[in-house]
Amino acid sequence: MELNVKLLFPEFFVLTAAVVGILIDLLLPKRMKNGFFATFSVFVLFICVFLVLFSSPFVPEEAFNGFVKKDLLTGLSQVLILFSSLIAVFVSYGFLKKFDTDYVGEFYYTLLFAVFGAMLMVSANELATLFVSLEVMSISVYILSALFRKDYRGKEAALKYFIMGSVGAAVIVYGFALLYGLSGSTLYGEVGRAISTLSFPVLLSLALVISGFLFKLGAVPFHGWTPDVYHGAPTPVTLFMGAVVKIAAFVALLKLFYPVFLPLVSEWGEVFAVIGVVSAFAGALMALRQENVKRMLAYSAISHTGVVLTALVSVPAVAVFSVLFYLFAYAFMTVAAFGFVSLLTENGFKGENLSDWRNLYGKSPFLALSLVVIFMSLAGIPPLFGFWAKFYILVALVKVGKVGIAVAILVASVISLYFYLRPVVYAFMRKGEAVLPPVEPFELGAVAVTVLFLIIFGLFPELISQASIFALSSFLRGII
Amino acid sequence: MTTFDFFVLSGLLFAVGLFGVIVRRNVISLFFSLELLLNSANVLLVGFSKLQGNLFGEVFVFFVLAVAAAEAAVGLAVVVALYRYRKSVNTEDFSILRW
Repeated sequence: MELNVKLLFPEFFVLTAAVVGILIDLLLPKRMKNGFFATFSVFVLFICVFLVLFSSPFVPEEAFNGFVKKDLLTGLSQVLILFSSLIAVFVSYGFLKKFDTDYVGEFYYTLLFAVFGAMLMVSANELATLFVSLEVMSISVYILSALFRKDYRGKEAALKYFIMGSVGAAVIVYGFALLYGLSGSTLYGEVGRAISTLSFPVLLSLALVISGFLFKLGAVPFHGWTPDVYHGAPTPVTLFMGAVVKIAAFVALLKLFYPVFLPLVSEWGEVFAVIGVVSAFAGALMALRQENVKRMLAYSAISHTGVVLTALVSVPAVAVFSVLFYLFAYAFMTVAAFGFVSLLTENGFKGENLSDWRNLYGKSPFLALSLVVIFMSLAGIPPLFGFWAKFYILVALVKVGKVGIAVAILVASVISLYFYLRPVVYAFMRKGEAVLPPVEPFELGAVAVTVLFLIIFGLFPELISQASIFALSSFLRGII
Repeated sequence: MTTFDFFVLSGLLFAVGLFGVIVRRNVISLFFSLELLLNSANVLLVGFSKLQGNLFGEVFVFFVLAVAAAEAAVGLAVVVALYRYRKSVNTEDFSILRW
């Protein structure tokens, strides 16, 4: 047990960069801010990717007397978080050119603070650390959604997200308090040692922690805020919420539940499976009639969350692997989809509705083709990345004999095919005039790169599955 | 006061807070209820800290307090920004985003 500060170097790097950003913000004239801060954030995130790659240990290492534990699962999810944030910065650069705000510098450094929170969240190995990093991330995202001028919608979304997020946080912290009372410690390892059977206090704390996480993930009983917030928040922020917040919450859930509630794995696995199936159906059914693409993607996010949750009913090793693989695919698809929406958005929120995408093929064949790739990948059509993600989840379910759940997921996917095909139909077959604002090259480049990744990883899924297996074995080494 | 009393007190506070979050329509009262929710966890943590005889819980309380303060600051700022548009702090007036 020692401090081992150097293990947290990537996190400190992002945090320092954000604080330096606050200082630079005071010195720059406003017209230079967007360009400067976008470059600055891109550099910081890019360097941090390498720091994470070089500093992630295969044998789990602890820092701050066990409050933080890093393994390859942490490292891999941090790379994913940083990649999504990089795309978010590229998209924000174009978005901030189109939409006016007085708070350009604030936007970028709050984004960096959120990245810091997410990175710390996936490496937390103690209840208080997890709670604080979760809130650092969430509060930064509340701020980000409310920053744009003359954007009433974003502020309403921020308020709704704030209220629901705070209730979720309070429920989680109440569950943590009960766990502390049961075990007398807040370290995952020691809490796990105190929990062996399903007594009433354990059940209560488990229920509270699960509901808190479901609030944050936006799964079925507590999904009400998701569509409103995804729809209302500025598109780059929605991208960030959809990708980074979800990755961080899921990985934190894996890292919390397996060490702490390992003896009860079959019980909470079943709970997650039921919630997952209901979410998958609810999301797919409610997305059917949406005209606004962001709102449709929000319901599709609920559906995808449900699919990921069902994997937790499987054997721990298989579950971690398939969840991690799905998170990879989901992050790339979400980033591409919301980046695409942001690309087409014009002042007055034109370009967010399906009717604004009519005959997009006539205006820009390249954009229309990337739309096909993105939405077909979300639907899980082979040979795209999304297919393999769903495939591994189904394999994980069938392996443990949960064929019923696997069939339910398949049916939900077939339903969701309908609404993923609608944008394609609008872009290729409907007569009309698509809204196409002048395209920012950086934004277009970022979207094109993610679309390319969707195809590459679809053709060579071994690249990601190998990485996930490494992460999984490193993670298991830490909890046995 | 025994530990059981702490538990009952925090449970009551949690129930009142949850009731407030569900029933209240005024955003400021909603914030009060949210603070109650967080503080009920604080009471529980302090009680358990006394029972367990270590300071993990007491330190956790400081973090929760700091987070609660940050949340209140951000939340009130959002409400002030919304008030400029709607001249109201009633949740029923913030409803352009639905279905």
